[in-house]
Amino acid sequence: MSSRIEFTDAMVDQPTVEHEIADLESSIVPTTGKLDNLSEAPAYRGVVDIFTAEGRVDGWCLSTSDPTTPVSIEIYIGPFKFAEFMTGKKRADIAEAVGLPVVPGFSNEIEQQNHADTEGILHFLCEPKSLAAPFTELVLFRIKNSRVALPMSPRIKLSRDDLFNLVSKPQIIKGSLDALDSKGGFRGAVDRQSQGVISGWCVNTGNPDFPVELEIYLKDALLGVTTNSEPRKDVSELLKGPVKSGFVFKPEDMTATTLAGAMKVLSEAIEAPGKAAQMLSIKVRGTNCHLPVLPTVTFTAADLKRYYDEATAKLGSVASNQRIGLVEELMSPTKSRAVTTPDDVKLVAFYLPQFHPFSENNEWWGEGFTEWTNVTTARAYFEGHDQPRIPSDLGYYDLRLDQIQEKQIDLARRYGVSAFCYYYYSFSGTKLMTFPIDRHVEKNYDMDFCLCWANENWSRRWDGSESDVLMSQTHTELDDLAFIDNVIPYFSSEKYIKFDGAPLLLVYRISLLAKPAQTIENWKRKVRAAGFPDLHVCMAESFGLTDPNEFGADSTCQFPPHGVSAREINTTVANIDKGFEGKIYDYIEVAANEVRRPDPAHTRFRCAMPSWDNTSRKGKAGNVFHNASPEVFEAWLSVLCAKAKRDLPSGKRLVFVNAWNEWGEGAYLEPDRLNGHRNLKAVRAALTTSNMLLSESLIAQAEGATEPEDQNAMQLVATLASVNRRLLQFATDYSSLPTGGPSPFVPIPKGSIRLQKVENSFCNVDSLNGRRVTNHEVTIVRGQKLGVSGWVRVPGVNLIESLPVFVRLSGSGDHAFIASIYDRETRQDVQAYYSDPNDHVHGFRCSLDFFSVAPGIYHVEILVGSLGDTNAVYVVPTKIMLIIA
Amino acid sequence: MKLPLVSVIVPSYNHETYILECLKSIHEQTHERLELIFIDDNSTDRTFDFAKALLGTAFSKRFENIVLRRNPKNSGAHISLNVGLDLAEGDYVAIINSDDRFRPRRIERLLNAVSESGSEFAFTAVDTFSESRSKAGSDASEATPAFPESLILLRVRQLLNIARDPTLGYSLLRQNVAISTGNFFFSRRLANDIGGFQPLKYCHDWDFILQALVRTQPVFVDEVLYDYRLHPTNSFRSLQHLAQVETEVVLRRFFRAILMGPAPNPKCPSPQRDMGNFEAFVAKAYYSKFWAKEGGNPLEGERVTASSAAKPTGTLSGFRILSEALKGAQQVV
Repeated sequence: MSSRIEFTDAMVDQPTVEHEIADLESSIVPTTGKLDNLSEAPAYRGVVDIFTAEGRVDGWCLSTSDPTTPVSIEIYIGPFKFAEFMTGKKRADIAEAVGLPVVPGFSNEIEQQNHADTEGILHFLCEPKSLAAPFTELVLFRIKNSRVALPMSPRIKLSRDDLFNLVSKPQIIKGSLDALDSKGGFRGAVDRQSQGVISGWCVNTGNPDFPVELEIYLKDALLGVTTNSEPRKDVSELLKGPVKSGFVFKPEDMTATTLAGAMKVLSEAIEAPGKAAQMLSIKVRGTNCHLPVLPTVTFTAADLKRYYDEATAKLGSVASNQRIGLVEELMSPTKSRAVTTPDDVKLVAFYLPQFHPFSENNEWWGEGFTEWTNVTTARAYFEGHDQPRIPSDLGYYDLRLDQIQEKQIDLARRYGVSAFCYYYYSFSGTKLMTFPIDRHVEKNYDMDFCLCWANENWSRRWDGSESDVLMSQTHTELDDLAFIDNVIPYFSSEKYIKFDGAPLLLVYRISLLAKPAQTIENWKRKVRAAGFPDLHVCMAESFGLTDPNEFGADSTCQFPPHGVSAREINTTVANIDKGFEGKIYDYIEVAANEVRRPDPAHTRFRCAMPSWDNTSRKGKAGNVFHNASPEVFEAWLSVLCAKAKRDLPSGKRLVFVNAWNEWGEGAYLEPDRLNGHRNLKAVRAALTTSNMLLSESLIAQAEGATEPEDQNAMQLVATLASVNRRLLQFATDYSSLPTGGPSPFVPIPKGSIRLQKVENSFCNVDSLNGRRVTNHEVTIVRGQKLGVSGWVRVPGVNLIESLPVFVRLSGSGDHAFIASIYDRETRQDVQAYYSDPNDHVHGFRCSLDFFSVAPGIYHVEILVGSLGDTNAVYVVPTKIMLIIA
Repeated sequence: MKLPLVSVIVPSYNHETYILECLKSIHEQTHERLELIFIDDNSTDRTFDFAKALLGTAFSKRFENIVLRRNPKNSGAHISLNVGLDLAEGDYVAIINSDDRFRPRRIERLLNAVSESGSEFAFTAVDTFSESRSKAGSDASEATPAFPESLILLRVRQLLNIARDPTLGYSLLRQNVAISTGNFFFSRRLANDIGGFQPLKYCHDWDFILQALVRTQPVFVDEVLYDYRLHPTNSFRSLQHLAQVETEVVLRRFFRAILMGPAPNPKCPSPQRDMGNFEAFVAKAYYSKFWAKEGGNPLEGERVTASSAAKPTGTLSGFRILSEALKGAQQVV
């Protein structure tokens, strides 16, 4: 019984205060189990006889000065207190030895205490020195408030591993509230599962007000964390106070990842059938305390999986990855509608095809050269210089891919770009880069197009200068004539832009033609011979060319930055690179001057550019139009659209944009990192009537009309727009109730719906227009709206969300009036009155609009749909009588 | 003046019990000039045989033309409908589900409605019926078939949904208030412009009517002229996430169509015309994310470019800037 262990005799008599943890190990002294010399030290005697791996401890301990008083013993593992218990069991042998009827024994299952730092203990046990230490150094049975520890019998043969398992073993707490003691501790149980919703109760009896966090596991997959925040009447009664002890865990509370984990466990479990409820474990967070799962909780893995399936179906969370793919697939460009009529303004964007490598470019510039080669190596030369330009949506695309062009067309159409004007390169008969154009025709893309003959030499300088020519364009008359043979096939496409059947052809640098007027005449002759009524030749206003009559062309097309005017602002920018030789212009000034530009006598198609910067091509010798912004571009383009509508004949209201994708010149509508879709949105906005109206005042101002009225009109519009935006914030405020909006009534002949009464069904109207009901007779005027809130209960009917609920007015006429109730809510406060958990109470709110109700006196009833018969409803009368004046 | 020819498309699948009743209700239409286009989606029962047999008798004399087709494999309602649209020759098209019924004056009334209003799309009030009534006095709930909640008081709810919003367009944005393709009546020109039915399992009808809304203002004829047969529910719940996907597609297609340019239908819900109210509706209906996506306005959580987050669009600031600039002296050109 007693152990022979050599200890030092040093001992402390009186109880001491709890020591610092650091002191603990060094100053706790084990006592002895010997019972001789009871009048002398040590004052405490005792021993731990049995300590099993399951956590059972047996032994005895008493105080020699006070042998009949029970002793509190604490179990420490390392510096952490693990459990506590008291002596009080009979030990006949000790009682005999002492000669007194003492009860110094203890024989317990170790009950891990509430706030035991389980994690800390486990960590401690995993430390290297713990792994090496003998068991007796890891555990301490300390007599509370002393520096004395109980020795352990050498027969105790536990290891550190046993201790580890013991600590990590789930402690099942009690599922009842009996025998509550001052120790506190968790009580609770999982007592219900219904439709995938797991519920139960849990309380920290030491501090019932404190929330308890619960982790829900299915096998070892964590489903989620919940707290005890629901009222539980039965628990509250037993604890004699309003305590929120209930917890609920719904499938919707899971995230996609935890749900995936749960599904995996359930799928495996379905294969190996057994009681699925055993997989469920709920524990108090931070402790090892597990809630017992009551036998009333039964479910099969298949059931639970089904509920979770349904829940995820409602959320689509697991399927979210599928969703994205599916949406993309279903949204893929389908036939889009005809947007423009001949009267409308048509937006045409210039399109550069040089976005795929081809042999000539590979030869001249290096392998794989495309436009991107320059774009990626650009850099900024002054503060605020927008370089390099980085494409966003389409990336550094390769036009060899069909999808890119298709995506471009989709993007263009969505934002109001009606057509592309493809640059057509042909050098004395050699075609280059017709790839995208050919594909457009071949696949008959849902987008109009026309061609612009980019007729000039390709040189290394890319600014039109002639030195170091790579591909020479010799404009002999014959070559120029042969050119038209190459393009006539494109005219046959139904998507090619035509004016009254005459295809539109642009020429970039008309002055380079050997004999322009003559050539154009010949072209027209050939085109007519091919079956078209005519050919419309439009010359670009490049290099100072402005007069179509000089060249025999039918119209001109602006080509900014050619022909724009603005001052140089090099000196106004900061941190300009020393070697920078180019010119910096103010974009805003350009736009303003473009608004001012007078109209010529001939047909001119206007053109705007979102910005312009060719430093990517020419480096420090490049030119920059600085201070460009989508807002100013939008205003500029709006003016051009307004002018086209006003000045050009129907069917010819074209406005051009330079360009869709001139990345090397910083002139593109395609999304980039800086502006995103804003330039495209500017295009869309510019085509709207409201923007065109706003342009009028800008045009008027430019034409010299400085009347305050125009300024005032624009001010007023701006104010209205801003007020509207602010009002919108109120209107979309989700917190305002009811969100469903006012609910109108429709007349329904009496007898067309079957009304069923249910005994003990009840409806209470809590408030009308926010105020409590003081009088059951309510008088209202027809134009008035009435806000009603209340709750309804139909015994035996589970009022699920999807069951429709209505308000019915029945009066003396042969029609009753019915309105929908959109907003529903749970009413916990009322639900608590009803003990049957299947007895659901549903709250409702509505705002009723009596406009179509005939004057009269009506009884107000609530109708609740029933699943059995689609033409029958449960009717629950309210006490309200409505008098409509 | 000759009355217009109306093509009645019957997409059918495994409704042998009901198909004769359905065809009879077409036969009894007061409007004379009809062509019947029967597209069987590879039924496994005798639906096609019954139809073929019936249409081989004098029953078919009443129709100007009869087309009978059987899809080589079960392809879905939208395919049958598109096949039917391709074959239709009439100026107007009506559709009927193979288990439903027309009321006798239906087509006559609908033609009146479209010609009076100038619209190209019309539909009527709907009543529901079912053969399988719950056994009288039964207490066991298993004996009572459960219907999907969406069918409860369908007729009343159709009327309530139409009354709820200021225009039919907004009601249509919430759901298909015409209930089913069987209730659709439209011009063939409109169907071609829309491009037919999309490959959507649950929402191809809603998509079609919304695309119609962009082009023409649909007309509601407040008279019950269509009988919609109810069946107890087979739970579609596991495929609900598909319905969610399709809802997104339908709404985004609609938003895309109205963003592309002014809608041909001047009464179509539009952010321009219903300034403020449109966005408020979209927000209350919880469509904001779809609207933002189509409008090119990234919402919270989506990757934004540096300045698009900073500056809101539509601030008219460009006009103000240029107005200021115009006050300065003009640069000599």
